[in-house]
Amino acid sequence: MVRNEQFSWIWAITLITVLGPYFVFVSVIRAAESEPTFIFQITALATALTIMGIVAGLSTLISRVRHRDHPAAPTDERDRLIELRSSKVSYYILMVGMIIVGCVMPFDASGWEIVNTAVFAIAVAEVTGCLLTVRGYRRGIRV
Amino acid sequence: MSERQLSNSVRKLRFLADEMTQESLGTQVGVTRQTIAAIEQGKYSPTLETAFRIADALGKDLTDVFNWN
Repeated sequence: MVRNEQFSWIWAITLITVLGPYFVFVSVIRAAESEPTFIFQITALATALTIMGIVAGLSTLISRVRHRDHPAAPTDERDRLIELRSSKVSYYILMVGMIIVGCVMPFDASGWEIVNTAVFAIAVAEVTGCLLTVRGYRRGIRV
Repeated sequence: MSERQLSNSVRKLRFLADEMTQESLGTQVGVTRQTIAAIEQGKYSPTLETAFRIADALGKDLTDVFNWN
């Protein structure tokens, strides 16, 4: 398994396992029609983002130690094509999310709804990008 | 739309070329071993430039290595 594919797996699993429960938690609270305090919301979000940062940092460190004989990951035309395809789709998803967050939601949504939707859009774009990268390496890619 | 597909004989020609490894071919061509493996398995169609480089490294013409059928 090449390093890009490894990172994509780790990052997709991290996003799903960390932000998944966070969004379930937020949805449950919203369904109960109770508004958590600002401190509670910011702590929950900061905790989720910190865990993701730690996992990303650790996986980078472990990968560097394991591949210390080849510090620079070699990339070629196939890697660049896979990256291009996945980041293009990821970018469009992110743009749709940001248009909703920036142009539609400010008229009738609260601050935390907007923040959570923005984070959700980023997470969906990232996970999609990672899964498309994995698919590109596993199932192949055509020009 | 045509039903024709790009196929290749890289694996066979590699073995005929004194059992050249994927790593060695990749180094000569300027791509990774994984990309050579993907080309052999038909999971990736290389650019024209890389296709020419592969044919050159194997000492064959492009049409001996890659087929459109």
